Amino acid sequence: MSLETSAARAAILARLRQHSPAFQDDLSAPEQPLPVTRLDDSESLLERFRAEVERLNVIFQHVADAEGALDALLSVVRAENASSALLWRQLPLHGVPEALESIGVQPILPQVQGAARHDIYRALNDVPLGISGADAAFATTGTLVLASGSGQGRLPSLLPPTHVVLLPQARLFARPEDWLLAHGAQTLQRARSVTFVTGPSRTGDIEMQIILGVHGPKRLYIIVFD
Amino acid sequence: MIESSSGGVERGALVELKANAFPQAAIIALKDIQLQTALARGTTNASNARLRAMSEVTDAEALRRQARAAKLRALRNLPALLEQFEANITQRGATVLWAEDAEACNRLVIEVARRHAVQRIVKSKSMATEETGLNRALEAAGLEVIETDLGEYIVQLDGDSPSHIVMPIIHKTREQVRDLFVEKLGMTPSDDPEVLTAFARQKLREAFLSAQMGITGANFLIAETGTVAIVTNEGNGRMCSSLPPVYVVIAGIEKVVERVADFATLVQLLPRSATGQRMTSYVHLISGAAQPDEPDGPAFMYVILLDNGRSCIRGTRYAESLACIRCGACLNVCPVYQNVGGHAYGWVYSGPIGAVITPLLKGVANAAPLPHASSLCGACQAACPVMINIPDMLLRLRADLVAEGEAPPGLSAGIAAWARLMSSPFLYELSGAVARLATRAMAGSDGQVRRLPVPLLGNWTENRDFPPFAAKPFRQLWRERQRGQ
Repeated sequence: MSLETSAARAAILARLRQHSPAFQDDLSAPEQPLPVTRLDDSESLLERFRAEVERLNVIFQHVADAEGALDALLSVVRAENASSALLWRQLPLHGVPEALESIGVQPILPQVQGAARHDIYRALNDVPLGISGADAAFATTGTLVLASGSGQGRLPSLLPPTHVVLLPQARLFARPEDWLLAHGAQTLQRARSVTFVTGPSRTGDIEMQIILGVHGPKRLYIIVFD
Repeated sequence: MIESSSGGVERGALVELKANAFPQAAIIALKDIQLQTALARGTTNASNARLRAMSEVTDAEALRRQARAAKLRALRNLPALLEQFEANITQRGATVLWAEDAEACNRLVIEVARRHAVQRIVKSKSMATEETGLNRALEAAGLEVIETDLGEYIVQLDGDSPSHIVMPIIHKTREQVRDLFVEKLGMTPSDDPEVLTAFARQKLREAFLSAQMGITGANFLIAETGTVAIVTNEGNGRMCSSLPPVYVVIAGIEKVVERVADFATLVQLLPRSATGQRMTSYVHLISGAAQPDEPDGPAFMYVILLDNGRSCIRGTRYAESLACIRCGACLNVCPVYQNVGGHAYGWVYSGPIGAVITPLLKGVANAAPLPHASSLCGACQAACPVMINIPDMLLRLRADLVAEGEAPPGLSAGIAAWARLMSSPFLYELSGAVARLATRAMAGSDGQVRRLPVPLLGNWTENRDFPPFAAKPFRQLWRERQRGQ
């Protein structure tokens, strides 16, 4: 057996090139696509974002500055009774690892590529808290954008039951399409993994009753700072 | 301990085509009270949620046209877009493989698993892999595969199959899930969904941490950037695509869209139409294997582009059916699906879109009852976020069936008699009078006819009541009105 599929590729493409479907619709791509969500010009993006995420059971805080954000973060860590936390190396806030250590919380920057990843996963599985930044956020849907990169791993937002996101207010966009049209293509070409996070992990599979925290985080905190 | 699915349960049911047994399966479903309760709750909730979510957008009709144009444009340019997608994602370290059919697809997954010495696989919900019967093939090759979507996990444990595109266990009650977990996994009995979910989380976490390969489907492939988009709520898709060292995507070739802008519209109409959410909890966009300087992520990524009959459909007047984004909205609004559920359709895809896709993918003679399993009310088309003209395609499929000699018995004679009746005013009035007298004589105490005599629609009333004809026909009412009575 082999992974050589060029014959299948050629056959499929040849069949596709044989006929082109004749659709009756006007298929020209719009210059400026119609936005999906209504948004009042006078509406505050931050207030809309807050309303959206709170509807999704997110714990939202807005603080004035970086110092306030660090304080807010530490009170979350204390409230969650965490003794360690997974975090991004490249956070939008300086001094997080030091601040964590100062209150006796061990900061962990997980590194599994090129290592015995399954052993590391096991060791990290009981860490109660993950801390990350966000590359952007969308007000109308209450969404965070997490792009992967050298200092921005996937694990802090994936493994722990609680995820805390530090979001500079300038990264807030009105709608998903505003960000996607302005920065989407370029971000997708740069980052191998981009995740939109909209509220905590949830399921409605059993009798449509909504349960939070199926596989991903059960609790999501967002700290917005100027 | 991880429970594998290879526990002696016959899982052939996952791909075996039983669409021709629709009439019998439908009758069984109609008499299943538990199923009727579950279907009523599930489809009503989902439909209401969709209506709420679509009522708050800028212009629902214009957005549906925009979404439709994006999908149809992609279908028209499909070969070029597939090549563009392939070139872009290959450049970022993914390997793109092409599969002509289900068997080739399954073989490729097994080969990738062997190449990377994989034993345990975690899998996120994927209709394409239901279609290829991937799990059964992997198990036959000695590999352990664990479904990680909660509903799919339950279905796998039970040797069952999903009955809805979006809500796989819409047909199961919490008590059934409890009994399954108690029996198969030794759980302390509870029928609280919160407890059941927490229990499954713990079992599945173990699988995520130890698997060597993750498999997901794809909701969209973006050609412009070479990106795979997966839309989930539980986060299991993200686990499957982030934790194991090897990540495999299986995507139908019709999933490709041209630009990020097209995706921007579609990714918002999908959750609104499926569950009424403005955005699902997770939308994961993967554009290649992890780079060496990243702390985590899959070291290897494969994308299998699956044809399995799609390229042939694209050349026909049914091409539009390939625009389906698998939201399940047409299932929730369909009076047939609402009453018989997904299993009666006898294959992977159910509801109105299944009644179109199954005959097209498996041969119309192998799914002959499905194009007839519709009242042609048009609710499916009205709900569809990409406006697929399902009623029209069902009619064409019925015509194809007749052309293939698969017409219901007596159809030609019946239509000839109907034509004779309708073209003679005397015969029309006479037959009306006979029907009026006969049905009123047969009606029960509640005024409904329970059973028509066998040659006249006896089968039809086996599971339906028939309203008797009105005491006065319209023509008589009209004559009386003209006379001023």
